Amino acid sequence: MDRGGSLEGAAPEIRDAATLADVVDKAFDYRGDVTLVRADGSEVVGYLFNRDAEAPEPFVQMLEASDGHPHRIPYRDIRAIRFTGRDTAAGNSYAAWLKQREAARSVGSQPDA
Amino acid sequence: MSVPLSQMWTVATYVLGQRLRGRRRYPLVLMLEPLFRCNLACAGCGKIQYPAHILRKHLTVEQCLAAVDECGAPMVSVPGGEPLMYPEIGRLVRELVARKKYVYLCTNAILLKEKLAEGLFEPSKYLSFSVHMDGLREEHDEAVCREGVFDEAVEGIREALARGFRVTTNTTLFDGASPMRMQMFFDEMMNLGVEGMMLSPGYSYSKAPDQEHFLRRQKTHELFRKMLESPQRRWKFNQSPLFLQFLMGKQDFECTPWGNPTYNLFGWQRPCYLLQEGYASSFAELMATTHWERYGRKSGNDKCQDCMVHCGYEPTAVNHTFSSWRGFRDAVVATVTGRL
Repeated sequence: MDRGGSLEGAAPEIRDAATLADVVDKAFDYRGDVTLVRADGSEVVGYLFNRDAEAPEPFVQMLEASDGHPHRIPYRDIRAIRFTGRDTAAGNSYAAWLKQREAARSVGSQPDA
Repeated sequence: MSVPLSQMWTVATYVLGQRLRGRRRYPLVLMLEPLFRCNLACAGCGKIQYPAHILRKHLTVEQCLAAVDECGAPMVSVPGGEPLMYPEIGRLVRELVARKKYVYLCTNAILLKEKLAEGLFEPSKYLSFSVHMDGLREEHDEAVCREGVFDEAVEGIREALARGFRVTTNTTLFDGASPMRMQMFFDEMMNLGVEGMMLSPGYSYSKAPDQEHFLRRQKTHELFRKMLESPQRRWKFNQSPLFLQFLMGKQDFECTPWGNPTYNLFGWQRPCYLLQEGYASSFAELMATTHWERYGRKSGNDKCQDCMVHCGYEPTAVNHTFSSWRGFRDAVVATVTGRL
């Protein structure tokens, strides 16, 4: 399956505030779970559904994969974000569906042996 | 146009009331998404691409009603996901109707016959099933990526009409749509007996997988002009005639992103139904803290340049109708003559 440049499996390096903001934005756009590593080394695995970089205290919000528990985590508490969950948007292109449909039709239209 | 008089009156008095109170920004239709789960996986839709634990979740009826009450819009559109998969859809609709909200339950209608047989809904002037139909059989089945769905939807529409429900259709037009085939589609829907049709061009929002097939602005004007230049009297549209004129290039409107605010599992979506740039925890927070000046064509925002979608421009059209004599006159003339 063509996963078209998906971040699935990526673990981008966070060096400073700019790269942190960039990685958070990528995680916000990512349609799969991520693993967020906090400053104390603890990890939260779940879907990152919100972020506000312009709030007085910038934060992200996540829903934990195991139990749906909501988390609000300040940017300053983020050490790393790994793209550990399956990217549900990857490989789902319209072109891929057309190709599948044509393949199915050609199989269906073959005369019986 | 086919919007019932009572609904027109409700919307007109609501809009005028907002203007008399001097409210510059107010909601017209709440887009209430109780779940993201769907029984289809359409190529043009980015709504269902979430991890399984998110797709399994849904809002409670109480969360939905709190959002409806806080927002105050006179109309509530219930998309999703597929709202007929929401376990409490019957109760939610009853509560909305009891609040005298005009409800558009946006469904692909695959489950409609079954849910009607279960007695989940009562016919009401406040409830309309807005059935997703992207054209004739071939076009629709291609758009929803599954063959046979058009026929299932038609069966659901027939059943709902036979039981006395209001039924409208909602159609998203993609690049390559044929004006002639769409005119045939309008005839077929009118033959079925639907109350009216809603049309909107698609939009290439970043998470939709079908990036290449959405219409650009110029193409949109051409397509809608060809389709609607000489509309048949029998074609009924359940939307503002000024919005259709806008799609034809006869009106120049700016987006009203706060007109159709969206509430879902994540909260109040910024800034609109299509763009997903963050969430606010309350409607008040959404209205007060969203940087509205960053959206719409005039803002220069790339994401807004080609968008002509109903959720941003239909509220503009409605507001225009009640904010100028010219707008009011244009709407009345189009409504009375059926000409766009």
